[in-house]
Amino acid sequence: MKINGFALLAAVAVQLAILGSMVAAKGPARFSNDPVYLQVAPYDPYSILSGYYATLTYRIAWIDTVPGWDDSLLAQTVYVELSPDENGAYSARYVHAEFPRDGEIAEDARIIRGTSTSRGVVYGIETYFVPETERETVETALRERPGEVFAEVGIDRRGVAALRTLHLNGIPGSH
Amino acid sequence: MAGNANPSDRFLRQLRTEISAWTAEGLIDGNTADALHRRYRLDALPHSGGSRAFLFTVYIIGATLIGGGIISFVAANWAFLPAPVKVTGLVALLLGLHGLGYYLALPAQNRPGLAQAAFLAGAFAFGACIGLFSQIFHLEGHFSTGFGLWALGIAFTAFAVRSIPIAHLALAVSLIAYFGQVFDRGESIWWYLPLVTCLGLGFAYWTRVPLTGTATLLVAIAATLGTVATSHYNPSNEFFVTAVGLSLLLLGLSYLPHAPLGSRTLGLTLAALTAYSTSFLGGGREFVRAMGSREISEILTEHYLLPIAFLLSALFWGAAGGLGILRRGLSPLVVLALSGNGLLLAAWIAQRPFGFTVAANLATAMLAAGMLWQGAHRGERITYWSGLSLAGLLIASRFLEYDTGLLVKSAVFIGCGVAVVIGGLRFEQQVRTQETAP
Repeated sequence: MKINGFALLAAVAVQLAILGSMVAAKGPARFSNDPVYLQVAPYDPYSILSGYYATLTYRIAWIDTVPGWDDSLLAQTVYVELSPDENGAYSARYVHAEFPRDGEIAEDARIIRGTSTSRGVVYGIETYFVPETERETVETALRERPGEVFAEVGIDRRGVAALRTLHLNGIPGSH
Repeated sequence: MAGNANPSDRFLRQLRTEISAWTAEGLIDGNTADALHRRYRLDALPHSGGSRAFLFTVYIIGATLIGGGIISFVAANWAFLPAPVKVTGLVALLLGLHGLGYYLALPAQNRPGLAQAAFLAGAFAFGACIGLFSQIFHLEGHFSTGFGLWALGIAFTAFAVRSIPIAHLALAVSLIAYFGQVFDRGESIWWYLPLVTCLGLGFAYWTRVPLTGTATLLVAIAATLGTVATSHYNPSNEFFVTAVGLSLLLLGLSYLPHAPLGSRTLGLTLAALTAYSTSFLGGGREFVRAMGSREISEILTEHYLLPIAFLLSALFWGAAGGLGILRRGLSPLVVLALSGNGLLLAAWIAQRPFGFTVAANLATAMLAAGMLWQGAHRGERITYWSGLSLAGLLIASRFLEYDTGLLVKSAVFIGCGVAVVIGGLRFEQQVRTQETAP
């Protein structure tokens, strides 16, 4: 059996490129330094390939009462301006149809990009894979103490968001 | 080495057995036996083809189990390790398994079975990597996207290391991805069918493994019929044209060297089923009415499956014509199947309900007659009985369908039944006579 080493190397390189490209799309958001904290609500189906995961929804998914919203934005890309409360949790302040220019938003505000649907805005941070050993803990927290569960989310300069982790007992460092 | 520079393994194994027998019988002495062993490198020959195949099977089963274990381990979500360690570990496993396969395949090691097993385990590890990366980075996406990326990645490995098990795994995984898209998301991928057919058949031809060709055809047929079944408009038209296209494709493929196993049988079966299922008068009316006022060109170009099916058929027929048909000639049964398909297409294009029904009945009868003739002529039991069943089914269907008197029906049924029994008995008698002839 004769194996062409270069062909094998190229095939493995393709596999690594596929894995790299999966991560690269959200790399800047994932590794940004200033996360935002969003309150979540749960739902947990089962993934064939990846074990248990929770499908999350956020308070900021419902923006039809937020200033800037109008029905023509349905099924469009929207840029939601987030601002923090006194505990550090972010909520929607304004809805933009285009990415706002510098000076158009408050200094402590952040912009997150999403797609508005009839079931709320989808930000690409709705899936959280739950470690098997922590499944019950996470499930219990989401069911019994949803007000204390916060998602730590990184957002890059284009508004692309990446889910980092869940905090089950409130925002770290807040009182 | 004079004579044949590359004698087959089968010849070499036979030679080794003969040398042992010649030595035992005193025809040659030990020195001559050793010289022959050296000349044909018989000591490097694996002990037997059977044991080698068995070992290979054991290795593949082992690799599949290890692969399943890796995926389960990943699905358990590996909570106790930090993300960078997980990523490094998975990439190391991926590289390690491929490296191990390469090492085992080196001439110095000469362990091709184990090497293929390591590559297969590597293919499973790649699938596990996709799942784990989704976990670690909480990446969203439909499960079919993960399976699609898995199939794409290991398809490259299958070609790089000429691995038949990985090629079959890639085919299966790609079909799961495709069905996930079509059934779960309701989205069609127009390029799936031509891509998988070209890559799978190309791989089968390159490796000279007809089984891979058959697996590719089954995947292509499953994907086509799955798409047609979920089509949003006039599924009967799409189903008909696609079935005729696939039948032509399969019949054409069967004339290629290293043709996929069973491609002619599949093509003939599909032709017979298409002709019979469209031979009902009521169905024919509905069928033609479904076309409405649309032009044929509109129907053909409106949906990608139809032109693709015909394009592939034409391509493979072209190849078959150059490579096989001129050398071996078409069998009368294949000629009848092609004529039947042609007749059906012509009637379909003419959009005459009654004409279409007549054409479908004629096509079915032609196929039944062809099967009966070939079965009797060549002594092929299955072909003969298939033809007899098709003929009986056609006649029975027409008399159940049309409004005729009970007495006539009764007489025709009895007549058909007696004819079938007599025909069958005469055929069996003829086959037995041929088998017992000196």
